[in-house]
Parts: sequence; structure tokens; C-alpha cells
Amino acid sequence: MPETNGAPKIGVYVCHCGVNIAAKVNVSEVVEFAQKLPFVTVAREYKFMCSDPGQELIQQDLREGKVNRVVVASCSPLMHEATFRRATAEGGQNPFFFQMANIREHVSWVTEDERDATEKAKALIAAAVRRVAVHQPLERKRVPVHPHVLVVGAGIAGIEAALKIADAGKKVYLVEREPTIGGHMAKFDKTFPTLDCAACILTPKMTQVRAHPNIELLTYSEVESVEPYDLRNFKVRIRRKARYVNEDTCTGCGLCADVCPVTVPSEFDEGLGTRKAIYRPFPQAVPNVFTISRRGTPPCQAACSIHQNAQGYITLIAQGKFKEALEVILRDNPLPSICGRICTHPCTLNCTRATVDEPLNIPGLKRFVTDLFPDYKLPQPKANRSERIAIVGSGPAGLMCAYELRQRGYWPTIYEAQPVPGGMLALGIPAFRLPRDVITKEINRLKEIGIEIKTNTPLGKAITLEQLRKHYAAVFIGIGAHVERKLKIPGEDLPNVWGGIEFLRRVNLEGPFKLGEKVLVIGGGNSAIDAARTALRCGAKEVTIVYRRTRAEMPADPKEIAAAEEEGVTMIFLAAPKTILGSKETGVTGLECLRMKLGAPDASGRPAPEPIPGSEFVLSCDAIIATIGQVPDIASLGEQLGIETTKWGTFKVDGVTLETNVPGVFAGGDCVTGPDVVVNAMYAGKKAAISIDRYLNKLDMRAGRELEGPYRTEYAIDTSGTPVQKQIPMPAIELGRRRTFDEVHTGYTQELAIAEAKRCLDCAICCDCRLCSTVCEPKAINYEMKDKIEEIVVGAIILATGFKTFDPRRAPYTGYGRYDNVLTALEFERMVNSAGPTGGKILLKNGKEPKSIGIIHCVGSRDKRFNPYCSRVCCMYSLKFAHLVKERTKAEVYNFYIDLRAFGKGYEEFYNRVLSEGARLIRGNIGEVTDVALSPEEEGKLIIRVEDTLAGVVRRIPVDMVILATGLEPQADAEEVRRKFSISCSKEGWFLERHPKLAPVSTFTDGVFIAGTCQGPKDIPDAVAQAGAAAAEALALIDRGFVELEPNTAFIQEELCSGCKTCIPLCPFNAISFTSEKGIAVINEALCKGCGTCVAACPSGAAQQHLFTDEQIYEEIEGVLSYV
Amino acid sequence: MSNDWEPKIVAFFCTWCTYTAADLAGISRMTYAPNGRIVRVMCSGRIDPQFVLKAFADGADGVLIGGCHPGDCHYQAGNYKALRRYTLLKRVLTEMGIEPERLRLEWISASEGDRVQKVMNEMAEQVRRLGPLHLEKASRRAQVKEKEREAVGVRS
Amino acid sequence: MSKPKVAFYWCASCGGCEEAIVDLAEDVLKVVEAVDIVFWPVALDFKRADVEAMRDGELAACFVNGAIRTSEQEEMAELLRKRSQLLIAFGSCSHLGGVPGLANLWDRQAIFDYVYKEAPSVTNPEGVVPQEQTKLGSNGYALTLPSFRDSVRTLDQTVEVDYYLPGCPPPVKLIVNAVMAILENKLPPKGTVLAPDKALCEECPRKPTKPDKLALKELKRPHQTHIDSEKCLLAQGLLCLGPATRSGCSAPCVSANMPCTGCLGPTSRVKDYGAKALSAIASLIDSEDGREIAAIMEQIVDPVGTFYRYSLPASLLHRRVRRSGGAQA
Repeated sequence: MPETNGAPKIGVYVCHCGVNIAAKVNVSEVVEFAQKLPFVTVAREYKFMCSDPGQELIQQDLREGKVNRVVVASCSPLMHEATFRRATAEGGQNPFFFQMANIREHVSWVTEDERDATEKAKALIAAAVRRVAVHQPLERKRVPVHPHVLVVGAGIAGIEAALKIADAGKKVYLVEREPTIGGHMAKFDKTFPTLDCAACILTPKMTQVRAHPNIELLTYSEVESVEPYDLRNFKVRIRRKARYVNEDTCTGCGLCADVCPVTVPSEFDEGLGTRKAIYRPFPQAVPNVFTISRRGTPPCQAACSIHQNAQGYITLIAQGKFKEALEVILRDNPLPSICGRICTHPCTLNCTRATVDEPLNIPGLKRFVTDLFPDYKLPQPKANRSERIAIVGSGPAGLMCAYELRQRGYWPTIYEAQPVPGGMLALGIPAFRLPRDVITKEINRLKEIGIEIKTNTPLGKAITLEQLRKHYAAVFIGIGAHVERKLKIPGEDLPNVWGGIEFLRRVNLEGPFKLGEKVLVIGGGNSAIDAARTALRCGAKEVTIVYRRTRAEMPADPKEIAAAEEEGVTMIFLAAPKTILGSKETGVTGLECLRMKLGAPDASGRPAPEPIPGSEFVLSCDAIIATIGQVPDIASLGEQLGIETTKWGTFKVDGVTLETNVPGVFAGGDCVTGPDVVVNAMYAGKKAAISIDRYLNKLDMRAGRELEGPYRTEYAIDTSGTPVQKQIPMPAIELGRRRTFDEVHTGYTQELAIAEAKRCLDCAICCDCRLCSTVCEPKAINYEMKDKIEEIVVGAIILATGFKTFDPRRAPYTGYGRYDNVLTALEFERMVNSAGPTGGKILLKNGKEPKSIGIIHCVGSRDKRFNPYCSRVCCMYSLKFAHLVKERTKAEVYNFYIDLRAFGKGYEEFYNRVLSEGARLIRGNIGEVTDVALSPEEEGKLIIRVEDTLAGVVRRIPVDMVILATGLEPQADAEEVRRKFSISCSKEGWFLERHPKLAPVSTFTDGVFIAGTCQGPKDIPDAVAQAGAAAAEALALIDRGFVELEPNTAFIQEELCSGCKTCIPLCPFNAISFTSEKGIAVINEALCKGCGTCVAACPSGAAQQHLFTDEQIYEEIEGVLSYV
Repeated sequence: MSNDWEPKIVAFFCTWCTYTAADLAGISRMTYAPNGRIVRVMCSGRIDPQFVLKAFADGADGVLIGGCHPGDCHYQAGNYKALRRYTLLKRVLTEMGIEPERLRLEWISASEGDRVQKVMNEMAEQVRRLGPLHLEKASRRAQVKEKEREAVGVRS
Repeated sequence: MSKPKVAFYWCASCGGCEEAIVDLAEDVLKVVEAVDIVFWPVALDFKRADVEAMRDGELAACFVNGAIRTSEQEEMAELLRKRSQLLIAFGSCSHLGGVPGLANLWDRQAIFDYVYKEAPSVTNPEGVVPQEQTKLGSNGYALTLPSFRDSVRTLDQTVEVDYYLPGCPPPVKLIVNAVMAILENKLPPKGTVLAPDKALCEECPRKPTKPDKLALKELKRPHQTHIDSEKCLLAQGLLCLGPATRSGCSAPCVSANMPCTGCLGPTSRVKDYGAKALSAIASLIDSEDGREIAAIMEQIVDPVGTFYRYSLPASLLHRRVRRSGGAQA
């Protein structure tokens, strides 16, 4: 049984609240009514119950024992419940023998008719009386409050709040998502109305923050989640975004930015100025450290099989930093001068620039660099080890594998069957595309770093796999695919019928030889083109390519095809060879072909050619070159070596590790994939090298290799407004010289290279050239840095997350985005800022000084189309702009306003001052800003069309520059943030205060406070004042060190609980558990937050909630319904 | 029914969102139908279907339940429990011959004072159209017994 | 000295409660030894006149089972109330209205129309319906039938009741305890339900198998699933109302693989059995999506019949007064 205070003697006290209640509710009638209610011993009315004399009334009745339970009928309990509970307690009763009837917010203020209001008030009072009669005495529980405070957002409000709390000796975590603190104010030049410079008053505070021992500053960080740590404290997880620069060691010297080749628009300067990829928003930034903007691997690099960092060297080329460019190239590629010429460049195929006009000529730029330094050296290996590795085949796969292994310290020996190293590079590709000395030089570079090459040593003949396995720690086989496909038609073995590779190999090894006047080349691939162009250079008069599909289906590189035609090669499409005509004696005399037509797509997705019966025709010729592809055909060799092969006659290897069935023997390149491009062969070599290294170090050969090889990157770059500028063609020798084996393309000149490189869009922003790390003395730069999650516990949180400005693109009538000289307020702030992009000069886009400027007020504010509210600061900063313009130029200034709001201290005076300076004010909401001139003096101007509501006329004011007084809006992610901190937002999205007047910085979540513009538009003085208030609230909370909780927790009457466990899963705070010894549920009061959900569900009514027992609520229900 | 009849509506509002919204409606002087009688609970999850029946039994013609928007519950998920009970209760009431429109659930956030005004007016209008809810009085005995039950039960 | 006089009476009921007394088996002898049964229509040939002949309060105790539906039952209830010192509502029907109470979903008109005209098994071309007054033959001899009330009431909605013996039928154990309490004059405060005041889970053999955190994604009916004979039925998705129902029966249904349907009614703290049971079950539904929640609820085929099977007339709403006499549902 609850201890009660004897039979209820209830006092009812009805408040007039001045006229707030009395005007609508007939108070004396209500009092009379209350008098008659059961248990009511006293009923009184008073003007202001919440006033001291009002409270005294209650206390006196209590002391004199006239009453022992209290009902006050006045405002909302959310407003004064605490007050009257205290009064009840001071009157000597338990504070919970009190109940409030809300007859102001819920009655007098919302009811039209006085009778209705009076009746409703009676009902609510009757309910309160019945309820309080069954109230029970309760004790408040105290819980400790953690002494640390979190401040979110480091604009002027956040800074102010943090400093106040820190000065009071409490620890503050100050979290800011930008790389520096300062917020919007840091961007301003002068501040109204006093015109003191923003930097001068802000930066000292910023420095204080940095220096303050009690402030832990977490910039470039965002709050990830907020959870209850216990009943009254918060567990906050904070994401420290990787800035790739170590905050503790960076000295802010700025050398990194000087060398950084990437320039992007500066957010801090509102895009009017630029910054580097490694940057500091402004010189006085706090912390004074740099940050690198990185978007991740650029598409070109991701698409490259060996992840050559194209953006890196391209950006450097654009800067004329050629030496550095070479270093970046050599980071991933030992054969750049070869790749620069003949790589099929997947990079360009994925170049973002292609979406604008044409991709960059990436290989061309690479070649340019390597040509510039013909005698460059490959990096020396970092380590040396004892193991020797055998590599079979000196093609791109073998060379790459050898290089990668050597770099890891191993000693590779390459065995080459042919007299010259290089594989297909040397045998299959003609010199006019890839000069021999280029190959030789590359191979010599490899030899220089200790790679041994043995030519004329075919595997299976000169040496056996057993020998290799015996003498070498591991073996890599990259013997390519050199056996040619046959035409399988009559006459194929006549003299002067060549296979393409056979032909090219002979020319490459023995030099040009006479083929005949008329040469036919069969096939449509790159080697067909090579063969045709080589044939020309062997003195053929007429070279014709015969292809069974059309040009569209030709696999050859379009550029190569064009080049061939340029040189005089002709083409016959939709024709397939049927019979080769001629005899042993005469040799080839002609080729009988069949006309083809395109049919349904085949396996390769290209339309399959179908012969047209009876369409035979004959082409006469002296020689035929059949280039219809090669096969590895190492089936027999494989058998001999004991290596498993596939049904396509390639080696069978593990897809991830490239290991064959023979342990320690790896294979890659064309002999595994079939004929493929150079860069993929190099990729295979690199892959094998990684496997071999792990194999020899007994490491897992498979782990973490997902990102090897080409992949697509998933981020879009905004290319809008990028001017069209097509790829710069690479110079070539004149046609006349194209009958020799001189290299056709001569490569970019420096000027051309730089111009082409400048077309790069900096997809990844930071181009990963790593120049910055080379100049950074404290070695503060760390490209491997990752986001970190930090976890803290705090007892109070202050949100000062600020605002965003209205985007005038949403208001096309302003002409913003259409006309050059229409600026937003923030843009103008930067322009007039002496540290800004124009050094404080007010300039038009053309660099001239404006003769007249129009300032348009209320852009996005007080406008149903955008925001209904007034942004409160625009009028004043517009006047400030007018003043600054007057101060710095001779320009005429027009302010277009709806109403002038100069409400603050010194504002009206400032307004008068600006007027006296000759600024013109025109009252009227503008119609539009246009460049359509109706008269000579309007020519070349921006015309502001406005209805002058004072003169009552429509006017056209021509000006040179328009400044838009853009209003304030909630941050784009305000909704997300308020959910994180479980507070509410107003309809516009401003954070909602607990009470607009009496609790302006508190929220409905205890311990969470708001300050500054996140609560609503306000100027700096107000923001600072609010910050102080929020700081005081937070301090009051944590300084006391505990809070008293509303004792509305749930409890279970043990003797009534059957242990059905219904309540347990319903508690979001896991406050309820099952005790098997008693076989019932128990509530941990320390965790219960008092929602009562379990009580409503308890099927046997064993669970109850203090202050909200079933009985009390039933009484209230009966009460509100019993009278009216 | 006599035309001076006015519907009685009991509104169970959660402290954090809907009750606060009702205060806001007051602060913003948004007048609305006087038929609603607000009973405050900490969370819409506290609302026991018995409260709703009790209100009807004691003469309410309509019952309104107000809680925080889904995802906004001050206690994380109380409003979902309210939604579950409401869904099933509505079915039972309908089968017992009580128009579903007499029971209404609304999510109203602390900033939606205008919504309180709107819903209160709609509800009053709705119920006015339906007319009074006549429940057969389960004889005098029943009430006597109920008091006795309380005597031995709830109050102990 | 004479033994205390005891009476048994039945109203709108199935006769199961009478069986329950028979089920006392040899214990019935103890009862007979101790008391003198002076009125028991189902077993002994006494008439209403015999009761009318008694003095008020002559009966030490009277056990009335069955709900109150007709005028005759009202008269008998009032008469027995007068004659008895103790009036005990015996069984779910007189305690809470019981299964007959579900008729309150309709009114007399609807019931008559269906039972005497619309039911598929009825052939009644003339549409003859029982009348309270019927003239027979030429001599105009009048027959009277008790009038059939519009709604079913519990005993205590009709006359004052001293104690309640819950259950359909009341468990033997509870009957014996009650009789002994009366004989030894060890009765709890008036108005008490003579059964433990904890819910059934307390004595449920399956209690240990109930998971701490139960969440229901679907609700099944016994025939829709293979029931594990060890595991908590609710945990198997079966609508067992044990958590909301008084114990005292030792859970025979649950032991026999059948979910509790709530015949012993609510505990003393609960005003409305159905609403409370509904609240508990609904709270456990494992979804936060309105549509899904509704879909899961749809699996409860007959919510009123499920949650108010024994207690519709005793519910807070008691019943809605129909404007038209037409059938609901």
C-alpha cells in the first residue's frame, strides 16, 4: 500500500494569466464549479498563479492544512509544472501531490466561444481533481552528468560557446566538418553596423580555440551517431575524415601547395578564386594545416591493366614539370616508350573528357615525356635477394614479370627462343610504328638493373623445364602465341602466299624484300594493317585489304586504318577468299573471292558474314598476306612440359595466381589468354611476379588481389561549362617519306604536349603525383591515411551548425548564372575582402570597375515561392555593401528593397549614414534583371525592371553589376542532423527551441542545446549572445554534476507478475529482464526512460508507471467526460 | 438526436510531439473546435486499448491518438507499438459495430501546431456527422462492481 | 443441527458447469455430507415454487451458472438473490457472459431472423417465430414463453453478486476451495474472483521454453501447423491467451497442445479482458510498417471471437445499441 497523506483535501487554483485566460474563460464560474467537486476543500482564483504571491496562496493553504493536494489550472505543464511542484513541496507536501490543468494553451487561446472555453476548462479541472486524488508520493532520482561537452559546428556561435565552456574549466570537443573553423563569418570583409573587419575580431577567437588547453578541436570531422550512454549522457561517434596530412606534424609552411600541379576553384572564395588540390582554405585557417582533396582513383588509371597513373603525369606535363612526369610514369611502367607508341590505351577509352569532346591522347603524352629524356634510367631495385627466377619468353609479359621481380630484389633470367628479345614487340610490330632502337633501349634499361636475357634458347629444345625448376626458385612462362591460323582454302601453300606474322617477322629480322607489284592482304585486324603498310614499304605498288565484314566491324584501331588509307592502301569489304589462283611455276596470280552479306550477330557480337551464292569474282595479284590471327598452339609443348592445357590450346592456370598445375611454375600473356594487347600481357607479367614473390615468401597467394587489373570507377564529374577543345593531333612525317621504315608519328612538341595535357579535367582532383611529399620537410603527408571513427562520452551537446545561403539559380528572374556580373552576397563579400580573389577591388568580369551597381534585397526571403520568412540580415549587409562600394569606387549604388528592417542597436543610425553617403534606395520588389536593351544608354548593361511603389511607376535601371541579397536557409542536411540528435525542426527546417521565449536555446531533448543560425536567421551579435546562453545552459547542467529525473519510471508488482515476458522485447532500452529464480520480469530503474510502453502491453496489469498509473489515467478520462 | 448535441472527443497525446504541438497551436492562437479533451501521456506507446474503450464507455463519441512521426519517437519505437495496437483495435471496434472513423491515429510533430488545429476540426466534424455513440448501459450493478474491483484490485 | 442449505441453478449455459459439479467425483460426497442441496433443477426434482416458499436468506449459498438472456432467468436470479446469503456466479457465462455473450454482436431481431428463417438448415415457409403469448385451439388457452432480451448480460449485470468462480467450466480444484472457504467461513473480500490473481504462464508447463524476446512475424491457428508439444505455443505463433488469463486451471488445454482461449477471464487489475489481451499480442507483432502490420493482423480470422470469446457482455463497451435491428457482420 502506498503511504498517502490521509484523505484527499484538494485545493484548486485557477489562474487568470492576466487576460490570457480570463478573457475567454469565466474564471469565477469555474472556481464555483471546482468548489463542488469531490475532495475539493479550497478553490481560489488569482491573476498570476506563477507569481510569488500566487505561489504563496498555495503554500499557505498547504501549511495551514486546508489542503494536502494541489491542482493549478493555468498554462501548459511543459511551462510551469516544475514551478508549482516546487511550491507544493515548499508547502510541506510531496511535490507529486500536484496536477496541472492546461486551460491556456489548450483552452483560452484556441477556443472561439467563451461558453465553450469555460465548459472545456471545467472538464480539464474536473479531470485534474480526480487524478490528483489518486496521486502517490514519489522520490526524484539523481543521475550523474558527464562533465564533458560537445559543440558541433565551429562558426562564430560554436567558437563562442566552446570558449565560454572551456574558460569555465570544462573539457569541450569542438567538431567542424570543414578543414578550418570560422564558418561564414571568416568569409566576410566588414561587419555591420560598426564596420569593424570580420577577420580582426574573429581570428583572435579562432587562435584562442586552437590554443585552449580545454578544447579538443576536431576539424574535417562529422558526427556519425549519437546514442544514449546511460540515462542522461551521450555516446557520440565522430568520423575524422582523412585529410592525408598529419595535423600534428604539418607546420602550415605551404611548400606543398606551391608544388601542387592541380588547381581547382576555391570553395572559400565562392569559386571566384582558385586553390590547389592540397590546400588551406585561407591563410589564418585554424588549424593551420593543409588538406588534400582526393576523389579516388581516376577513370583512366582504373581502366589501365597496370594502373599507370595517367592523371599524375598529365597534370605534371601541363605544368611543364616533365622530369617529375617521367618519375610518375616509371612508378608503374618499365616500358613507357613502347606503350607510349603502340598501347591500345584503355585509359583514353575511359577518359571523362570524351563526354565533353574527345578523350586526351594519353599514350601520346607519355611518349612525349620518354622522347624528351631518351636516356632515362629505370629505378634501381630497393632490395637484393638470393633467389634466381627463370622467365621463358621476352615479350611484354616476360619483361614486365622480370622487372617486377627485380624490383623486389630477385634475379630473373629470361630465355628467348628468337635471335632478338622483345617477342611480338620486335617480331610482329613494324619499325615505322615502333622503331627498333626504342625496343633495344628499353631492353637495355632492364639489363642495366640486372636482368639477364638469353636469346636463341627455346624451351623444350635448348633447355628443359626440369632444368629450370632445378636451378631456379620459380619459373614464369610467357611464350606468347605465334602460330598463325590457316585460311584452309585451296592454293594456300603456293609460293608468295604469306602469313601476316610470318611476313612481318621476316621483314623485322631480315629487312624489307621484294613481294611483287600487287599485294592482297586478307583480314581486318591491326596486324593486317601493319602487313599492308609494310608491304607498301617493301615496294608494292598496289596494296589491297580484303575483309569479309565492313569497315565498322574492323577490329583494327581506326587511327591505324586511316593512316593506311592515307598511305594508299585500298580496301575491299564484304569479300571472303575462296580459292588462291596460280601454280608452282607462276606463283600466285589471283584470288577468287565470294561476296558476303552481314547476318545475325555471332559469338563476338559482330554480325556474321554470310556468302552470297554465285557471287564469285577474281582479284589478280602477285602476293597474298593472310593475317587472320594466331593461336598459341602449345598443346604439344604443354604435354612435353607436363603442364595442363585448355581445349583452346592455351596453358591452364589459376585465374588469381597464374600458377600452373606444376608447383612454382607460372604462366601468363598470350600463351594463356590467346592473342591479346600488350598492356594485358604486361599485367599478366606483373600479376605473376606478385604471385611468385608471395610463393617464395610462403604467403597467401590469393589474399586481397581484387583490385588488380582494370576496373571502372564510380564517380561522376560535373563537366558542365567545360569549353569544347578537341584532341590535338600528333605530328607525323609527310606522306612522301611513308615508303621508308622511318617512324610515322614524330611526337608532340613541348607546346603541343602542354596544350593537350591542359585538357585534363583533374577527375580525382589530387593527381597522386606525390610532389608534395617530396617537398614536405616534416614528412606530414600520408597518402595511405583512412577515415577514423572516434568515440566520446559527453553530458551536454550544443548544436551550432549554421545555415546555407539561398541559391539564386532557383530564382531565374535574378539572371544569376546567366549574366556574368550578377553576384551573390557571399561572392561580393569575397570580392570586397582584401584577402579575397581580387584583393578587395570591386571589378567586373572584364576587369573594369563598375560605374553603377544594383543591390537587390529579399532574394529568396519573404517570398512564398521560396521562403516565407525574413532572413533578418540582408537589409543591413546590403547597406554595408552600399557603403563599401561608395568607399572604394565612384559607382552609383541602388538598393531595391521591400521594407527596410534596421531593428538592431545602431542599425537605424547606420542606415542614415549610408543614405547620407548617397546610396539610392528604391522601394519595390524587382520584376527581372535582363540584358535586353530598349535604349542606347541601356546597351551593354544589366537592366533591373522594378515597380517603384513610392513613385507608383515601373522603372528600368541600367547597372553594370547586380548583387543579390540572398537569404539564409537551413543546412541541406538539417533533417538528417536533427534525427541524429533526436530534436525537432520547424517547418522551414530550422532547429526547434523548447520554448520560443523562455527556452530559446534548449530543445525537447534534455542536454541538447542550439545556438546561432541553425535555430533561425540571425546576425552576429544575436548568434554570439545565443552561444553564450547555450554555454550557460550546458555549464549549469554539467557543473551541478547530476540531474533529477522525472520519477515516471515503470515498475512491476512482483506478486502479480506471471513471468509471461511480454514486456521484455518492447523496451527499446533493454531495461527489462527475466529473473529465472523468481520466474518474473524486473525493470532496471537506472535504464528505464519512462515511456510506459511495457505497461500498456502487460497482459495481467502487473506493470505500472509512476505518475501515469492505469488508475490515474482512468480517473482523468472519467474526469474529462463526466462534466460538460 | 437533438441539434444542440455536441460530440465529445478524448485525445491521447504524447508529451514530446503532439502535446507540444497542441501547446504551439495555442501559442500561435489557432482556434479550433472545443470538443477535444486532451489527456497527456509520456509516449503514444503508453496508450492501452483499454483507455480507448474506457473513453467510449464513459461517453466519448470519438477518440484521437497522437504520437511522433515514425522514426521520431522520443523513446525510439513507442509509436510503432501504438500503431500495432491501433490497427488491431480498429478491427475489433468495427466488428463490434463502432464506426472506424470514431478512432483516429495521427502522427503530429512538435512543430505542427496547424496540424493539431486541422485534425481537431476534422475529427469534430467527422464525429458530428456520425452522431452520438449510444452504448447500452451495462446495468447499475456493473458500475458498483467496478468500484469494488478497484477497491480490491488497482488501488492495492 | 441442520446442515447449511445450498442451491445450484443454470441460466443461459451449456450444462458443462453442471458436469463440473459431477466432476467433483468422490469430493461431491464431502460436499453432500457438509451441505444440504435443496434446489438443483438439473439433478433434483424441486420447482420454483419450492424456492419461493423459502425465507429470504434461507439459502447459505447459491451457485448460478449461465448468462442472463431471458426474463425467466432474470426473475430466477432475483429470486435466488433474495433467498441466498451468498450468491456465487459460477462459470464463465455468469461471470463474464461466456460464449452465449458473443450473441451481443447481433440483436434479438437478427438472431430470430437467422435461427428461424435464414439458417440453411431451416424450412419455415410460413416464417413462424416463437411468440411470448400464444393462443391454443378454439378454447383460446394461452401459453406464455419468457421474453427473449435484446442482449446477454452477466449475472452481476442483473443482480448483486458476492463471489465469482471463473472458468468454462470452473476447475474442480477451485470449486472445492470455494466450498471449503464457505464452510470454514474463510472468504476473501466481497466481489473477489475465487481464483489466483496471476496469469496462466505462472503455472504453464511450457513457461521455461518461452524466449525472453518474442517477436511475431505470423500468427497461426492450431490446424495450420505441426505443434511442438514442449515449446511455448505463443513462440510457435499460436494465439495463446495464457499471459492475459487468470491461472488456477493448471493449464489443461495448453498441456493438450491447445492454446489458452481465456475462459478464466482477466486478473483483478484488468478492466477489459479483450482489449488487454489484444494490446499484449499486437505489441509483439514484428513489424514497423503499417501495411505489413495490418497483413499480419489479418491472420487473426475472428478478432472479437478470439479476444472476447468469454467476456463480450462484460467488456467496457458492453455492446453497441443498433439503430436498425439488422444483423451485423
